[in-house]
Amino acid sequence: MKSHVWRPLYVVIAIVIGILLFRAFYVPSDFGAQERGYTFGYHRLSNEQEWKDYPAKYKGNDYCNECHDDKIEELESAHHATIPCENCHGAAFDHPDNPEKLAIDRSRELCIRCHSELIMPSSDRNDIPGIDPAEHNKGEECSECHNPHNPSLEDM
Amino acid sequence: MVEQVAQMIVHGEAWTVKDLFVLPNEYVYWSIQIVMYPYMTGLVAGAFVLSSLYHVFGVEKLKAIARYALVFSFALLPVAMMPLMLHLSQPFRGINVLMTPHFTSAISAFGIVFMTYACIVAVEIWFVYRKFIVESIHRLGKIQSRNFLEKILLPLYKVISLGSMDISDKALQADHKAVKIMAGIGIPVACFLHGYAGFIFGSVKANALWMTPLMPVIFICSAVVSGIALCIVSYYIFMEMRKWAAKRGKSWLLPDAMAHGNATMRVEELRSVQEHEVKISSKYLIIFMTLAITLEMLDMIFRGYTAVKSWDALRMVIYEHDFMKIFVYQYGIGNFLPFLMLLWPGLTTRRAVIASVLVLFGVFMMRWNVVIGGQAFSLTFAGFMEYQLPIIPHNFETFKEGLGGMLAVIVTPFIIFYFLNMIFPAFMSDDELH
Amino acid sequence: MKRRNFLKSTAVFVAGASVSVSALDFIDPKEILAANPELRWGFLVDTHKCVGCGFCVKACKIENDIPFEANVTRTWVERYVIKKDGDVVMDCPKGARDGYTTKLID
Repeated sequence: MKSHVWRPLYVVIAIVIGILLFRAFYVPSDFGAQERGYTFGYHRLSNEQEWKDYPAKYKGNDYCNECHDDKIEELESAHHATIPCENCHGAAFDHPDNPEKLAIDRSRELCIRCHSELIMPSSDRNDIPGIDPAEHNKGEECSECHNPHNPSLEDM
Repeated sequence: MVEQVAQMIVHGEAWTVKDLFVLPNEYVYWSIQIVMYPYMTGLVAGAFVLSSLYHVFGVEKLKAIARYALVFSFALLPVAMMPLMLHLSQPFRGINVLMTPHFTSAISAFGIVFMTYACIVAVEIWFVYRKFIVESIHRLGKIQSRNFLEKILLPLYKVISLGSMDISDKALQADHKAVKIMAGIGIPVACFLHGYAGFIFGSVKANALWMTPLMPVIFICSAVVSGIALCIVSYYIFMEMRKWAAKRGKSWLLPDAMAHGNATMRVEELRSVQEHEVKISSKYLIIFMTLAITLEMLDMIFRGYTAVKSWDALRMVIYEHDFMKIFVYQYGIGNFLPFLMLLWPGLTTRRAVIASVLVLFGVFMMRWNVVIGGQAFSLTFAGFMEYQLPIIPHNFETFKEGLGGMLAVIVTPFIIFYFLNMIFPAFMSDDELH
Repeated sequence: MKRRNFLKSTAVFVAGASVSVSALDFIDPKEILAANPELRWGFLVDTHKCVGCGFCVKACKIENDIPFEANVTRTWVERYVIKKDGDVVMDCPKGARDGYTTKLID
């Protein structure tokens, strides 16, 4: 084993050990295979907090309910009960700190996402009152006649 | 303005043209750099196989080109990784594939196979050049006032020699045996390095054009073909340059002359070596070409004959969208024309070189048709996408994934080779090396 | 695993589109997980309930910082119309980011 022939082998072994050492520092100890075998996945115990701290942009109706409980009550008693606030009011982010006021989308384009009439059986879309946006009060905002929180004209 | 922002952010939108029903997040994501990746690894593997023909199988006639191919293969090695780095939108995350290999994914083998192969080539070069290194240390050590290059080379050689200064006959015999063993191990590893590039494509279940177990074998054969062809072409060009330099007495331009001061060879000698090596290599080129063409045709015929569900979309791509690229450029100009040129009696050096250039082009088109052609149809099989190579870059992304990036990848190995030649002169006469 | 077994063994299923927010309240994921440690969660969407408003695509883009104007989405909704003669027409304008608002097929 004293022959010079083995010297490159020692170098290679040294390189491999170097890489493994670097890996030990670089890769978090709980990275990778957990109880589910080889599936790496995103979940790591040590960075759960990291993800918890990651701010979500959409906060959900409960968040809105903390201050605007009157509006939620009004909404939940009407046809639009299933629609989350943030669909029209925009994602909450850090409202009311940032942004102080949410930009409400009152455009026709928003309403016709659901209320444009399509001829397609098999979807519940047909149970929703539909209009032809090219014919129905062209150029006017829907909210001029319909209250978005309680859209039925009879209740107005 | 909006369009510009979109082009900057969405990888692929700048060069993808959609036709019929294509899903909204489908683009030709794998662009020219992913064409270059198997092409470059193929060249690495092919060049190594050519050098092994001499080292392992003892084809004495290939002696001169074998040493050149070995050093050139080493110069190509770092470039095999370059296209991947240029392709990544987040190149700094590239290290994760090496550090946290996920063994249910084929690319995890990359780091391991690549490192193994790099070590084998480096060790083989070390054994081939050990005598030269030791002699250079003695020679440079004797020089009283060293110039800039010699000042760098002497410590470099001392490090590379790993302190083994023994160049007795017995030691050299051991070197010789070691070279043979390393080259022997190197062939399967080189094939693995490239076979796995084919494996990555062949194992993509979702892509009908790639999904075939033949893919790694096809890749290996075309890799050897392209590697040999590149060695022939570049060997010819380098020898032409040396002849030119020798005729005009400008040999000081050559890297080994700059470093070692003894690259002057006679023009006739250069010409005879050049002619001899090119012709012999082209014989081996034909053998591997036959194999490669057979396999590719087999794959094509098999797909047409079995005609599984995806064949409808594939046929559209193969016979209509990419007809020119596949049948004219790849098979016509890239395979059959050089095949005839090489088989035609009275082969001249120049004809062999032109045929090799065509072969290189053909293999490139094969990679193109696999990588780009495989993305030509939408996964819905109801729409098509076309890749338009960005020629004039208007931002960094269109540069690195366009013609500019492609040329950068092509040029880099030659630059590396130039400097590598100062350390390991690939063209030195046999008296200096064994 | 057969679908029947899958449904049986999981016991609880959150049907994304069909369960309203208030109904989700009496399912506490932590309690259920503690009682059934082997539990694996699934996500079911009743496509019949989907009206094609495209709010999910819009919300996904905003939540995940996907460029809004660029024609790329992490999630999208496709529309298939099977005609009487058997022709299938499909479209997906902007990944359905703005919903399906016309009868026209792209």
